[in-house]
Amino acid sequence: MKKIFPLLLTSSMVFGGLAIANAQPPMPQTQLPSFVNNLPSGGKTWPESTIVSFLFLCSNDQADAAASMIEGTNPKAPSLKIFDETDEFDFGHLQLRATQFKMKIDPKNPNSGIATYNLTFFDPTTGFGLTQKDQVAMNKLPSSDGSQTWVIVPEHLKALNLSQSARMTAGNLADGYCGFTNYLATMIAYPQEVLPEIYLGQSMDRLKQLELALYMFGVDHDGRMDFNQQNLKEKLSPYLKDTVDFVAPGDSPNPVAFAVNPNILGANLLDISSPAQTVAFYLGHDQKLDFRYGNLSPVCFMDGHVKAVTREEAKNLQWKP
Amino acid sequence: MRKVFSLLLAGSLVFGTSTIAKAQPPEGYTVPPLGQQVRSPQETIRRFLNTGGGLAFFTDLVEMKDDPNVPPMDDPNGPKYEYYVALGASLGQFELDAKNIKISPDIHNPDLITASFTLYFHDPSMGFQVKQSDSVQLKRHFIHPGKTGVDNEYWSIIPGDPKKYFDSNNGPRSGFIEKLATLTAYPGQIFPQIFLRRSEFQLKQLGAGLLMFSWDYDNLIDLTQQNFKEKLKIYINSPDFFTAPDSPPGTTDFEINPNIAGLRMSTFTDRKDTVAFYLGHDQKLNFRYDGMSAVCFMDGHVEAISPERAKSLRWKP
Repeated sequence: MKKIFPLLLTSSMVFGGLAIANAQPPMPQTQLPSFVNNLPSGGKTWPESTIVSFLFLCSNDQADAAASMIEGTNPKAPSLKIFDETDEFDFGHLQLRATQFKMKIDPKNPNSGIATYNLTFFDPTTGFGLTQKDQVAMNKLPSSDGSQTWVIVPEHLKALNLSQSARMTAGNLADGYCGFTNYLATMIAYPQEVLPEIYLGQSMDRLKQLELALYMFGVDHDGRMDFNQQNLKEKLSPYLKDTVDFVAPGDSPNPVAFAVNPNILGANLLDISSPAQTVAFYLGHDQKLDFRYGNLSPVCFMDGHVKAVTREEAKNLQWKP
Repeated sequence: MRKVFSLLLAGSLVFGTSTIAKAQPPEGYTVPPLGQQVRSPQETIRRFLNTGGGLAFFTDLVEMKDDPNVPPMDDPNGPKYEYYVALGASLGQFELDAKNIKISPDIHNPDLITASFTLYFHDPSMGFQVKQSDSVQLKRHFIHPGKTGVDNEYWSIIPGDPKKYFDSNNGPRSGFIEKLATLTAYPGQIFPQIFLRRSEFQLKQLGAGLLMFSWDYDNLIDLTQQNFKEKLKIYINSPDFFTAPDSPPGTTDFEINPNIAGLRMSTFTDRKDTVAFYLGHDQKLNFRYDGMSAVCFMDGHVEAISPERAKSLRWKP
């Protein structure tokens, strides 16, 4: 039920006529462009209204409602619950907006085109914002009732090359386009397939928190790392906001999935000569990395940086301080 | 160096802003010590972003003005906790970075420069980033007055005018760092405004939730003062929307006007003036943000309310 209402709300905003859409938007409110109240009735959507609604829903953590605006995606698919569980779309108070919208229709196919616009991340309360160009492919779909809907065409998963950790890129975008809309659409269109990638990112976050706890522990113990793998959880927990940081995403709550490099135990933080190369924590056991997320495994180094390493890179990790 | 990095890390945990917490030095990058040490403009900018605008802890990175609301560096109470929370909440899981930093000296003043760079919002979890050009002015200081040279100088970011903080026209640049620096220099002047705007945003969501609730209940506002939080929960994005942005989690700062409970939407003749939700308790507004409060009306619109305006509010439908 909860999920239906954001969709209703968005529909109301897009198609106009409902009180919420017409209510005066005070300054710190997420503002939709004026055209949304002037759309023709009859179930039609325009490309711009699809993009605006899609970004609105994504920035409000409503992946399932946003799925209705992606070609070939079922908004009721159970797999979309992944995004509820992982909090993947955490943009804080930043809202996504599209401005200066342009639509280039394919001359050979009037039901297809490329939408180009400025994508803005903006927090209306703090005034923080950042804008970059973006573009995404769209198709016009007819319905049996005679209405027509413009939907976003997600990139094929292989084009995103997620498993190769080409995590910054999104398809074959022209230079200068951030590809964020496409990225979001592809993630929502292929939730099961991108799950390992999501988990990998979360593992990296958790390893980072463990590293922060390690430093805090060191500060309290004259720099000395006086703990071992067995009491790791007990010793570092006071320095963590949440003990979930010991657990790999997707695992049951109890096992400690992340291991500390045994060679640093008992040493002093100040004695680590090359912290940027020395392993601190990793996913796995006995100095063997666990590649459960495909071809990459997360490793945290003693200088605090975290990296997803390949099997090849794993061979050259520095375990001795 | 270690102590400083530990301080950065400690700050991240203690104050809990996600930006600070997730800040990490790039591979091979050494975090220099805090304080008025030798520091290039590039280093100043990168460190400032890495600390997520750590306010009073890192005030040496910003040209500080005489703002009595900024706690001194050695203040045992430190800066206000809610400031850090607000910063962290604003940016979510994004980390910040500046690349391609280019320096343009001021030909009239060798102690002033403009740094132009590409600002990145980077999400390490999703592995995605967006970027925009940005620029900021910096001022040079000397560690030992009377001596000059690159070996004993440091640079600080010049904040903007706090009165123009919410002017949104930055042209093609983001203006992000200047805003962050302005917040650092004038937190007492700007944060109350941020909290007021956030309160208005949350009240707007409560108003939308009330409308959707009434649709489900045949236009009846089947709510009471006691159960409105529970019943509206599924219609709003976050239970945090009942809590003012500078209050501890779980606090109820936004109340429903008890006079609207049990009525049908159709009974309201003057929706635009009738209070639906408000910041305060017992039908008394709380003017906690620079003497202003916030109210959501029955037609869904939200206003920042002065004590004078409060006198004309309509509480009875």
